[in-house]
Amino acid sequence: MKNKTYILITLTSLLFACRKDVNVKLPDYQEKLVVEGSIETGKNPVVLLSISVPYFGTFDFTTPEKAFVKGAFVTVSDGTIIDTLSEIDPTTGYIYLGTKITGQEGKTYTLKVRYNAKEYSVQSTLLAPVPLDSLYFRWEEDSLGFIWQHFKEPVGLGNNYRWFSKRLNTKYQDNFFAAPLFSVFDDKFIDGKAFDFSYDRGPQPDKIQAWRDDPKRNWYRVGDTVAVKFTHIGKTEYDFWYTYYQNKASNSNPFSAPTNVKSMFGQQEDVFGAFVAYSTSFDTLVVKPKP
Amino acid sequence: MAKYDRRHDASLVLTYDMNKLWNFGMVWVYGTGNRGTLPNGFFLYEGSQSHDYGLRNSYQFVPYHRMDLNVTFTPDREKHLEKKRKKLVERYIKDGKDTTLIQVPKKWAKHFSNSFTLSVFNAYNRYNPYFIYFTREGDFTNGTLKVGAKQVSLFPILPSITWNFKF
Repeated sequence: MKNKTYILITLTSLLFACRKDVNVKLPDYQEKLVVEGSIETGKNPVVLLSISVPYFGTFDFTTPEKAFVKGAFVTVSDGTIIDTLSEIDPTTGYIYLGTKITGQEGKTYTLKVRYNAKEYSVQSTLLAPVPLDSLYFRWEEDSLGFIWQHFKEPVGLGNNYRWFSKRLNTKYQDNFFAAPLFSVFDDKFIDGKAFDFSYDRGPQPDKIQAWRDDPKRNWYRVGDTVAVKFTHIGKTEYDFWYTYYQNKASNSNPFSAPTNVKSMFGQQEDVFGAFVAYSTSFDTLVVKPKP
Repeated sequence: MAKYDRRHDASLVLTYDMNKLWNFGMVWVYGTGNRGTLPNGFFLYEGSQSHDYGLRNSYQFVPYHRMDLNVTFTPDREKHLEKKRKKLVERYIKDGKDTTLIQVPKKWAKHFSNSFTLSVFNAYNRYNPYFIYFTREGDFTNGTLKVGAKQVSLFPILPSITWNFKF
């Protein structure tokens, strides 16, 4: 009887031994300059520069700072003034901040990056703001729920939007306005319509792991004071973010369609990313207990 | 994955009738590996890692091949029926019954025949790739990122026993 049991276990384990680690020989990877830039109404331009990394190349993952770009020459121009952006920390690089220009409605901003003897440029126009009408909270559980926005979309096709939020509480203070997954939409099906929509809470870019570990990560809580930033962006900018979110959604899922992000730098193979001019409107909501 | 792009396809089939009772068979199948779109690298955006995919269907998986083996035993029905008839005649004589009443085989089983097959699918247990996915542990920004690739296969070695019959 014992022998028969051992045979059965061996046969069963053979049936389920169908996953193994493999060495994948990927094509040679050309690293790209990754540009994450933005300018908002009334704010200075900010540009984050890094390089993309091969999956199984020689890059040492214990030294991530080697992917951050140092010493690049970065300028943003509004057609009149040229603002040369400075690195916040020259030893690390990565974050470049302007001081002379602030975002103004109607202006077109040109970002130029000079790195490794090459120059890259991209433009974005700061459009007229589209105000969000009002915010309210809907409880899904006793102390948790989502923020809803009532919105009357202006008549005329071609508007695109992106939504951010930031908690201002003392206990759960967010450092940045964070955009949740698929926080962009266009007006193809909602042109001129009044409707309500909601988003969950997006991850803070400086606390990604903590966000992943939080079982209540997508929710807002009673007691939160939430600032919402509703932005109006252009078509190229929308296409970038929409394909970026499709890329995120397909990450590591072998059954989804792989999507590469539509870079604002077009078909250039050694640079990738976006420079987005956000026309902003704000509102704040205090989440009160369920009546 | 472009799973219908099987550029080359080859099959080898061998059968051997050793005698009226035993038959042996082998099938060997080979196909060029499927094509798929894999990420070649990744980039940091909004504090998290995202994939940078290569050209569509630019990656070719390893070739698919497997060997199936089978052995079939067909019992000698005439011999078995003759044995059965003899036994029944002996018993009828002993019990004093009329042996002309013996009906072997029965009317419903007149055309009955059967065989037993032992087969092994994927006899050398090749892990043909079904899909590949990438794993990530840790966080790129704090230097703890570890990446890896895993291959999932369907159907390792699969033995089976079949009883075939017709009547």
